[in-house]
Amino acid sequence: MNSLKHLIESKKRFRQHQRDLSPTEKIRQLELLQRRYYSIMADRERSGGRPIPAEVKRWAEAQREIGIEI
Amino acid sequence: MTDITNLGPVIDVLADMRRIGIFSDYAIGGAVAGILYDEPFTTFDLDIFFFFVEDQTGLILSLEKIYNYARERGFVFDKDFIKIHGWPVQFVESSSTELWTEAIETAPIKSIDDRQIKVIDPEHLAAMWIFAGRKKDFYKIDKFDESKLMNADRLKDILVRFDLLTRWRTAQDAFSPEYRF
Repeated sequence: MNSLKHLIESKKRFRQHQRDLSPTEKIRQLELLQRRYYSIMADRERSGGRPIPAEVKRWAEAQREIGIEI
Repeated sequence: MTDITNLGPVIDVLADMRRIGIFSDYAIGGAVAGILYDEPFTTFDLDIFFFFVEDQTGLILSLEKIYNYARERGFVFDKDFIKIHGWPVQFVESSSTELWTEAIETAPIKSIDDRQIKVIDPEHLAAMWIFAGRKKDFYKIDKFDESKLMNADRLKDILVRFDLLTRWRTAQDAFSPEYRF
C-alpha cells in the first residue's frame, strides 16, 4: 500500500515538473515524444499490426523532408 | 543562434509571413497551445489561427497567398497541411468567428527558442474545444481541469458571451466542482 502511495506521489511530482518546464523545453519534450511514438507505431506496423496513423505518417514525412532520420 | 527545437524556425516563417503582409495577427492554438500551458503529450501538427491583412471577399476563403508563399520557399503540401521545418502546419482563418477573433487578439506572448509568439490562453482554448465537441477536445479540457489551469470566472464569462454555457453544462458533470456553472 505504501509503495502504491509512493508511486502515485511520484507520478504527481513528475507531472508537476513537466508543467513547470519552460515553453522551449516543453516543445523539445514534445518533439522527443513524437519520435518515440513514431518508433512504436512503426514497429507495430512492421510486426503486422495496425498501420501508422495518417497524421503520424504526415509528421514523419515532414521530418524526412528536412533530413531528420527517424 | 542554435535552435533547441524545430518550432523556432517555424516561428521565424510565421513572423516573415506577417512582415510581408500575409497575416495581420496570428496565434498558436490547438493541442500545441495546450501543451505550452500544461504538460507535453503527443500531437503531430501545429494549428495557427490567423487574420489576413485584407478582408476576404467572395464566398470561398482563399488561402492562395499562404500557398504561394509556401510554394516559393519549397514547403510541401499535404491536403490541409503545409509542412514547414518538420512540422505539419494547419492555417485557420479566424475573422468570421468572434470567439477565435477574441482568442487571437487577447493571446499572451510566450518565448520559444528565443522567439516570441502569441499562444491562445487556456480559457479561450477550453471554449474553442467545447465548441468543437470532439472526444479529443474533451480530453484536452479534462487535462486542463486536472491541472487547474483555467480561471473559472474568466472561463464562465467567455462561455456566456459566446453562447457556449449550455454546451459546457452538458459536459460539466465530468469536471471539477469549480468548473461547473
